[in-house]
Amino acid sequence: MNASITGRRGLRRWQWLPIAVATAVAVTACGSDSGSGDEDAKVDKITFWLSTSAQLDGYTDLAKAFEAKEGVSVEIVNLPYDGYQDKLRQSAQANSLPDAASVPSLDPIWMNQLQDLSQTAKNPDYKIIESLVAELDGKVLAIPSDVTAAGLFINKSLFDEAKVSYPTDPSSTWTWDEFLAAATQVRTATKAKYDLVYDNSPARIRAFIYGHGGKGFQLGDDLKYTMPDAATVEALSKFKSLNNDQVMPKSVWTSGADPNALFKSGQVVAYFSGVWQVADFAESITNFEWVSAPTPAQPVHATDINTGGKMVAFNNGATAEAAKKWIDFIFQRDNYTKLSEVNGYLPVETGLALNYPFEQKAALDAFALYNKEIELADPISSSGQANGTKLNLAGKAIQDDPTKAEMAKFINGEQDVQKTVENIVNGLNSQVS
Amino acid sequence: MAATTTTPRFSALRRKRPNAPGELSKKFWASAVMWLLVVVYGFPVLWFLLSSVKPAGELFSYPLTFFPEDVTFKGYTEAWTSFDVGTYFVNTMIVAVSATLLTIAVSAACGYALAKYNNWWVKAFTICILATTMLPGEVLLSPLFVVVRDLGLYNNLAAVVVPAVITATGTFMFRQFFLTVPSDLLEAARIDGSGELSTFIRIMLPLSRPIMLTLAIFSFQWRWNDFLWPLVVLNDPNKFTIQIGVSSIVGAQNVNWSVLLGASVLSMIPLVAIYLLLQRYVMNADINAGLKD
Repeated sequence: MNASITGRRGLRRWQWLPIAVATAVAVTACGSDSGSGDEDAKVDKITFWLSTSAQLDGYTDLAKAFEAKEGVSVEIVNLPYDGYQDKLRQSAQANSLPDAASVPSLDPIWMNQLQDLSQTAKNPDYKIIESLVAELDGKVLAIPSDVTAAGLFINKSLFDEAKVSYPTDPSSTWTWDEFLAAATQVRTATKAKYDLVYDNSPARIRAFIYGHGGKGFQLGDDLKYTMPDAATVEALSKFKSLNNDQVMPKSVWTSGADPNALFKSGQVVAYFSGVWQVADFAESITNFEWVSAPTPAQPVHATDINTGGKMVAFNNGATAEAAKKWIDFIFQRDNYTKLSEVNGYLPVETGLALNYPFEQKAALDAFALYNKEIELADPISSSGQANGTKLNLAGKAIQDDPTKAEMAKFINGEQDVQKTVENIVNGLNSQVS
Repeated sequence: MAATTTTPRFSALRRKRPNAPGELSKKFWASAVMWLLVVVYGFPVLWFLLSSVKPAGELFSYPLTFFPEDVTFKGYTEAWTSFDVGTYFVNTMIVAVSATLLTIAVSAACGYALAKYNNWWVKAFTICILATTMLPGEVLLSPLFVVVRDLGLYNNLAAVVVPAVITATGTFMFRQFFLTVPSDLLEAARIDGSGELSTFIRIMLPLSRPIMLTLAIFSFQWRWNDFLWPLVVLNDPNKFTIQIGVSSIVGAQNVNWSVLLGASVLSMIPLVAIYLLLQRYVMNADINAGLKD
């Protein structure tokens, strides 16, 4: 008897436990949703997914204008880049894909659910660069939101201090040897640490290869990568020799040091990266002056031209029409001009007059220079992007480019250039077979 | 507490010279090592906190500075406006608290059963639980997603909570603890007429308080820092958790460091608060209370 009385009293001390658990479950359950809602009702809202760290405002503005015009509100969801592809894939499984999206690349898993965007892509008024559009069997599946290009940044303060000149016009650019000689002169005169830091990326190294007259890693007719030409092999050997902890720090390509941070420290003469750095530099470089310099040509004037997000519209039944309208709305000349200006995009439509809202002269000059670079660039510059799209449309994708890992081994002296090239080609082909 | 009061008495009995110079230098070195550890662990955290109030231009300037020259809270204000911090905070709180409560309840019961009941199928079950730790999360992502979707939990905060409830780590923490609790206690309770459930709730659970609180800290931290799974199962931005918001600051090509630092500090605050609240109990672990041996 006694025991049961104290027992009940003892239990009372724990009576909060089931209540707490029940509350927790109830609260979580409150979060549940009734589902996608009824499909017959008039569409008044669509969802648009994208992943960006700084280029959101342009879309927010357009969404407001779209709602005012069409009466359909656009819910913009900014997702983390890391995990975005996974999320799209799982959403396809759960039948909950967004109505429209800007995606990093097309995925065979949901590619068959895309709408045809031909009317927008081929609208003669929009003047969208045709070679950048992803087209399959006469159906346009994706239009890039913008163009990106690789390019060179230099530390103007260091160049001025060393009294070394540099070209400013892409049509009279320098060769890689001239640039490297100038950078070395600046480094020794100013006691800077390195001549150059170079983004550790398969896309950026393409620009180095093309500039040296190589064709790089290209797809054959059978959708397999072929062994590269001699100029490519030579360019890769030269790139290795530059990683000598004087011209370039080895750490960027072998152990993941951050080239952006190195350049921002003011201790490096030049940085080879791309147009997406401009907004960041305008904001966060305050201890020296920087400028965009023309991409060196030896002798080929080329860079790596790529696309930003790929704009797609999904076929989600009732909302399909509104989603297509939204994509078309984005690419209408006036709207796209605003979007490019606010987001700092290099336009995918030709002949636009853009006034970027940057206060810094270096940033404005950089955009002018990149637009010129793209006009002058050798056609091979966009072949990396084209190969990726070609594979995507065939239902294949390079998930894990072996270039970085193999180049690291090469630069570390673990293998020779021939072995490196073979491993890259085999690594790429093992993913597309 | 117990340790500090008993040690001097024992050494006094044994050696009879408590204030020998060797003793003092031993104490000195022991605390010197502790302070060194404090510096080693504390320095990066302090740098991180100080960096979060530096303007973007100062973060990478050479030579690196420890103290900010201009103190600015722009990173924080930008982080606060770059995503719906309030909503994401509340969502994460709901997930972390409910998952933690459920995890503790389930792990305690499961760990107790594994430690105190001897059946062949209990042992088989132990191996099954162990097996779940041997698969990496990425492998489980797809099958788990299909199960959660078919249960109708997709796009529901419960989808983040439910798969997290059973953890091998928690279960084994309790199992190892209950193994150290003498079975005499259990038998004494049985002789006194206590039922199995009330023995568990009235005797065993209170004994395991330090483990419960340790697991609470861990579990809360796991759920708070969870990223990929919530991203995949939640679709509505009104249900996103804080880590999804923080990660969206990291772009494909570059990272807005000053905003990221601000957001990271903000997202850390609740975890630190929870630890400060609970650490008192964790440090108080006095497992052998009430037993003679």
